[in-house]
Amino acid sequence: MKKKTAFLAGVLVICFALVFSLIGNTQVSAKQLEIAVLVPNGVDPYFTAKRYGYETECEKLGVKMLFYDAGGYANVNKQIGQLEDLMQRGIDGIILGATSAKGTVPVVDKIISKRIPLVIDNLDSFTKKPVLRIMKNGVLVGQLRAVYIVEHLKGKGTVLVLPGPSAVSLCQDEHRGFVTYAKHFPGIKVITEWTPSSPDAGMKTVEGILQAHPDLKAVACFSPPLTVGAVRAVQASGARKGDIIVVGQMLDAGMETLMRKGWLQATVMCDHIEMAREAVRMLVKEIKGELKPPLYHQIDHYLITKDTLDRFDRKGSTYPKEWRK
Amino acid sequence: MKLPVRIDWSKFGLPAAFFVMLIIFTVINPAFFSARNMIQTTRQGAILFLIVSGQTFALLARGIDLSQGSVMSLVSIATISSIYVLGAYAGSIAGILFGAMCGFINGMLIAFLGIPPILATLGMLFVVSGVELVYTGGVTLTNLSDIDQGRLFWFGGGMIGPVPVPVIFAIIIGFLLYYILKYTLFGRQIYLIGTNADASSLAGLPIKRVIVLVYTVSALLASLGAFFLTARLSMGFPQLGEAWLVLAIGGAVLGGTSVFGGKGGVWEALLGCLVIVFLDNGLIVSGVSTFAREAIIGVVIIVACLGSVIKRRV
Repeated sequence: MKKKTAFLAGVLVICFALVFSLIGNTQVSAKQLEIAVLVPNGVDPYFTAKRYGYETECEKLGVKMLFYDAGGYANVNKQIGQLEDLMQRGIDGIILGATSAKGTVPVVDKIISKRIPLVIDNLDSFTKKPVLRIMKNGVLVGQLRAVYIVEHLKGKGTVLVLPGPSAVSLCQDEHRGFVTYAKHFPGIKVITEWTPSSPDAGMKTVEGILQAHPDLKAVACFSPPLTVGAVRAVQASGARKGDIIVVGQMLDAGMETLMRKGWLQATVMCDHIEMAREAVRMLVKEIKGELKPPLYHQIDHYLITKDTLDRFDRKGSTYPKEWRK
Repeated sequence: MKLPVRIDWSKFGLPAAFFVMLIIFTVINPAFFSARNMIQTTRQGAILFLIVSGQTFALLARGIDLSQGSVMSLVSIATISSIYVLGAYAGSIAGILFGAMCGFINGMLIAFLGIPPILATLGMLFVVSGVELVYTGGVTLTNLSDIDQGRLFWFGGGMIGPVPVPVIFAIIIGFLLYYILKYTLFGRQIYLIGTNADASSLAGLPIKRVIVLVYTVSALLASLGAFFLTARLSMGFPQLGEAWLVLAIGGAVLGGTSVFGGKGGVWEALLGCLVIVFLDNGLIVSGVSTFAREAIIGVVIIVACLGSVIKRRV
């Protein structure tokens, strides 16, 4: 009798254990995924638009998103601190736009060695370990600007390039793209000024360069804030619309107004909101172990001018006005 | 052979260096001394002068205002947001008052709660940055109506005759500040508190009231600087003031305002900001690379701080 009772008790314990472990497993698989998105300079309209992409895709996939802004490309330490905190928190996955290609390598290596799924979104970290990347083609972006400017200047003139912060890999790529194309035209003289990505830095630099090079014919800018600053400097110089060609990056409401008014001649676009969505999809698949190579995803670029402003498909690059109000 | 007149280099050293610098840059590139370059550089200088003057007030009272940069960013956002609702003129005033209010709170924290200036203003720096980012969601504010933009732009980019509008305002405000520091009771009290706060307290000076006013003035002047810059750009940028704090402290110290309080003034603020602005512009016009430019400006500020420390020891 005692043996029978003990046997039944044992079976019961095993059954309970099985039931609880099943419940436990169900809870793990139903647990809402939590991912973090880290950007270097959240106030840049490019990142504002991307945030819309991250948020909407996370919402769609039922993923909780934490958003971290380093507050500027110079704040490498701040971003490293954010990444270290996230590792401690036990985050399910990270999307990273790096403040510095080289400065973030040790912390990124640590994340990879801890097997935390990571997607590098556009602003690279030069880790040598295998990692998922979704990238713009910086060299091509630089070349697109160069092609437009060289063509409009008919291969002759002084051009100022404002590639942005020098530590950022994308800025280096865009600069390289511009210079490698422009060097085929001996009549094109390229001046490069590395600056922070802010409108006052852009304005001050263009004003100074206009004094040193009154023959300046074009300005190529890395970001929307730099583009607006450059246009303000051109306006203040007394130049007429189109005297100095300004080619920018992306398109926010302010830049669109400047383009419609004829102060901004062209801008290089990509579907960056769609890019952000794709980054979230890649990360979630990686977390669930569903992702298959390729580990490197590159997106397309295109150039917009005043003539094509009303004709291009904005779905992948523009967020609704009511968002963030 | 002795010179008939002994030159006080501590007083005239920096102005002399400034003029030598102007000559050197003009020789390197005559475009440096062109009317157009002078106009645009003084326009930039006017904005910096206002911010440096604000910092000078805080330094004179043996304090420091680390919140100036973030207050500038706040004013940029508050101005454009207010203009959307109130129109260019009332909106601009509202934006500037927002900034001044931050200074008032700084002053209250320092004077009445006894929080050291460096901590109170550092705290305010983070609070203000956070608030503006939460409010804007990091979005740059643009797209004013043409009328509002035209009115706003006049303040930052307009001219009265051959002189930029911000320069006219800076001159008027500069004289006013000079008068306040030199000839009013409030001005003298600032110097006394900066020289010896304990003695001033024993002498019955209204230290708390003066401190509150000092930080309000500091933030008000930073707000005015931010307003002219925002007007020039015609956009609200959430990180507008980020780079300006270092220049504000650097400019004040470079001009000769002591980091230990009680010494300095508007003239020193003017000198400091002129040196920084023309040095930066001259290096750009001379074709010096960005990296070398930053290093040179940094070295100049360090040397000036060193001078301040040596003078104090002597």
